[in-house]
Amino acid sequence: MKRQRIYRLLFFLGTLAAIFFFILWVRNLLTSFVIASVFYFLLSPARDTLERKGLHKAMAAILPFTLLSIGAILILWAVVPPLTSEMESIRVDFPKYLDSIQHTSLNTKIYLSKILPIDLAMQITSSLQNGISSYVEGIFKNVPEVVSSSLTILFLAPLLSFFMLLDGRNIIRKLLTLVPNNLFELSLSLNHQISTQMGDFIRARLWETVIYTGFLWVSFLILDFPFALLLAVVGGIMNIIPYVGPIIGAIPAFLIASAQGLDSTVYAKLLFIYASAQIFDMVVIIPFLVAKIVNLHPVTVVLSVIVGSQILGVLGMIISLPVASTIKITISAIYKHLTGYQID
Amino acid sequence: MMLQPMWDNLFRGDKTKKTIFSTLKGNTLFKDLSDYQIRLIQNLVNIRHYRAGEVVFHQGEVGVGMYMIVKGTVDIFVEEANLKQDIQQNFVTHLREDDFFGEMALVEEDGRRTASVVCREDSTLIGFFKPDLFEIINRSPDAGVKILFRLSQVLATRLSETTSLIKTLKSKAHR
Repeated sequence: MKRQRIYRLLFFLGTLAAIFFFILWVRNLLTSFVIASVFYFLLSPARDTLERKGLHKAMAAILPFTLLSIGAILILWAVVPPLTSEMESIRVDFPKYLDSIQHTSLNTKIYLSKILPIDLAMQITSSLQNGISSYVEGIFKNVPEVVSSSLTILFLAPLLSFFMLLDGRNIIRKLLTLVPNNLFELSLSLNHQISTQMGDFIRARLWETVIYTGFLWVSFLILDFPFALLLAVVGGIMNIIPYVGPIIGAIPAFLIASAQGLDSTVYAKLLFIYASAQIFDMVVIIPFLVAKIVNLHPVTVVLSVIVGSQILGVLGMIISLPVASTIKITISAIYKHLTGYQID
Repeated sequence: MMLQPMWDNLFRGDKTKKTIFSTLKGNTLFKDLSDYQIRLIQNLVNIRHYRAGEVVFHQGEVGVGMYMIVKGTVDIFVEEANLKQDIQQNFVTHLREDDFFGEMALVEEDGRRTASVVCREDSTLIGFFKPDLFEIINRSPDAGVKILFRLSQVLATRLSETTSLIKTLKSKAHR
């Protein structure tokens, strides 16, 4: 009986590992899967509500999915043309931006050589120049690859999210039947805890991103800053990454200001906008929406972001918190299962 | 013997059919539900097969739900430490088809099992766990309320039986 249990457990873990590696191995599948999960957790409350109203489970899945698709098409219809023209404009002006960076770096070098030893000034400016150049090139030179990946993801993510919505519960139920009897309750409970926390977390972060992006967009419009929508979207998405995300998201705005030769008050205004957005996020959005959903120590957060970035780059940084939270729930449930009880 | 009111099926019916649907329909927790609602639950519950001698759960483990017996018999044991601190297993009772056990875990927060359950023969059990109860409450609140009401009755009955047993034992001790 014990041997049978071990085989069953190995088969279950093997199936999980195979699914995991398949998602990692197939190009764009991981990103599609993450986006599909976001859609799934966004739509599942609507599906449950429709089921409560007595709608058949297929209809309860199709209806919110169709409504979201129509909404997404309308939003894309409105947003894509200005975004494309903003990106095209940046692409055309790309050499100008590089010149501007070189000019700024030369000025910095002259300034630093006045106040620091010449070797140190050279070292600082050259590493600064290399860092900024590779950052800018990374953003703009990868555009063709990003566009081709986006098309695949645009097809895969909705398809996956629809099937998750329609049959996700049954698939997980089928997968759980493979678990040996002695670990079944633990696995079922873990699955419930993780999916509840993931749902709460993703919905909260999605609202946070929408509000934060809106805040930046309106602020840029008031300032009459160029590429307002594009910069707000980049800032909003990057804000998902803890600690370093807001800084990465703010860099493009400063580069554009520098390239366009805007005066120093604009830098101060940009700094004010990003600082206000951060304060608004920390004081209003996070306490009401995100706090306590992922109860992780700040050190754990930093470490998971570093590990995430090393394994999967920007995507790894974005998903690092939910993954760390899942690992924490799993470890604590297994620990509780194995310990903590003594017979009197 | 002392724990028997906690484990004996005080709600046993006289059904002989052993399908999942009839087991659910015959269970006191689901007896107020319509056939449609029972079918919804049938799609949610977990059917588990056990070999003779296999442990369903150990005393002290964190429990997340209850089991209903579709086929087979299970023995309930309570592990106690004697004066020499040796752990000994005391047989409490056995449960058979249509009986259920472990329902306290449906409402407890991180509740631990108060006894161990071992299958006496090859058995088929229906597992009904907290996540399943939450899903029913979410998808069909009407069914969820009916189940919770019956669950409260079951727990109240067990509490009342245990209280009267404690009273009897106390009065015997005073004599």
